[in-house]
Amino acid sequence: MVEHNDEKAFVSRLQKGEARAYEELIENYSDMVYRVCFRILQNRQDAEDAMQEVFLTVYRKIGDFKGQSKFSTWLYKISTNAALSMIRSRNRKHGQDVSVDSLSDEEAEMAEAWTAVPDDFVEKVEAEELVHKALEELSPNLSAALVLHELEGLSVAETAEALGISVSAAKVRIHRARQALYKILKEYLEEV
Amino acid sequence: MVDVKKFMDKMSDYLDGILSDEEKRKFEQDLKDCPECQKALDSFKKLRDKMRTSVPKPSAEAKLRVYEALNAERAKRGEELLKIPAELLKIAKAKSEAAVDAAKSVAETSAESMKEVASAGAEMVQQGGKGAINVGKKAAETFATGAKAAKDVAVESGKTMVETGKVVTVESAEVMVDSTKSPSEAAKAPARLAGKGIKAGMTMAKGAAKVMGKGIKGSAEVAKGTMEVGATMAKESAKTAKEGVKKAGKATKAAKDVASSIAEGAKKVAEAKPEDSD
Repeated sequence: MVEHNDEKAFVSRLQKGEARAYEELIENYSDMVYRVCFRILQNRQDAEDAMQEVFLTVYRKIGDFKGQSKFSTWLYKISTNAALSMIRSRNRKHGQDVSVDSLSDEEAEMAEAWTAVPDDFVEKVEAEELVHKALEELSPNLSAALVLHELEGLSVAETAEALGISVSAAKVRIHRARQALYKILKEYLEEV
Repeated sequence: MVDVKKFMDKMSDYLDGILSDEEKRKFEQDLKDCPECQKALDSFKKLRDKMRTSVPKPSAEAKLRVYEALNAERAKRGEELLKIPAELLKIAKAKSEAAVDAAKSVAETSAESMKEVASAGAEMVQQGGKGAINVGKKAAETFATGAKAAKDVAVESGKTMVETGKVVTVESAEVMVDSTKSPSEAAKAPARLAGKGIKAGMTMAKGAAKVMGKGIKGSAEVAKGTMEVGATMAKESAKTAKEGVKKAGKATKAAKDVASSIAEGAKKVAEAKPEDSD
């Protein structure tokens, strides 16, 4: 990724439409964009379509970027929106409603569950299958929060900005995503 | 005794590094006093690390499409096009060549199939008698279906060339004009285009798939027609019926050959990779 010091210059080149800048954009950021889209969508074809949409959006909307946040955070926001938008449109086709945080209040039970983890819990699980199962079952908004904060390593503030919500709302989503993650994984392990 | 629920609430903030110094000190003290809490924290961290190592990457074709999509937008605004990395172009070239080979192979197999069916129809007409006249009508219909299917394949191939031509940059227009002149020029087009634009290759591959689809549909219709011919012959004459079943069997085999050719072609396209010497 582009270092912060060079970021202003890089964004300026993008805003001028410089071809080399867009080539660098694709080479330096396509892995990240695809990773975020795939983790939210859990489907290769959809993630590839979303990735294309992200780069087109950057090209069309780069003039709107004012530099008040990091460029990478802005890109995370576009990637997350593209993936969530695709889920909404996919669910509309199937007549499903995408609820915001459809999580029942089982926090006490989940809290207890985390302390009862078997010693070989993590070693038993194949990473890819685990990620796929967990991210597929979480609601889109929770999986987006989990992907950005836990897997991409964005701070709470950056996650909030990428999701277009307040910091306190982002904290709640991250917390609930972690709780929901454990419940899903516990069920997964019981099946294995 | 540590309150597990309160501990879990704080675990999120602890992991995010946003506890005050006092809260952090208390949390770490609780960890020392609560082995189960330490276990929960360790499990979560291990799980997160494991999830972070599962890193999906975009395919070369997906990156290629990004370049093409941006170039299409940039072309509309008259901006300099992006230079596509050589390794991505090689992949497009390999896929395009495989797609055209596959389409050629299917077309050849279809042509053979049409010949088989046509000769089957003609032989049936020669059987003579009332039954043969009725059979002959059906056989002629089947032959016409086969001829139409072959024509559809040719038309679809032509359309593919024209569609491909529309998305190619100005400097590739010459290649596209040449490709509509003859099948051999069309066969050369992907290799010539791959050096100039990727979307052409991708459209060619899509077009080849459509051509194959027409081939499948055409062959299925021919096989169906030939079966109906056989059924008609069965009504008219036992001997003629026997012949008809043989002919229908030939046509069915022809249709199966086409289907195999298509499947093989699709496999070759999927597995197409650039040559090491490219």
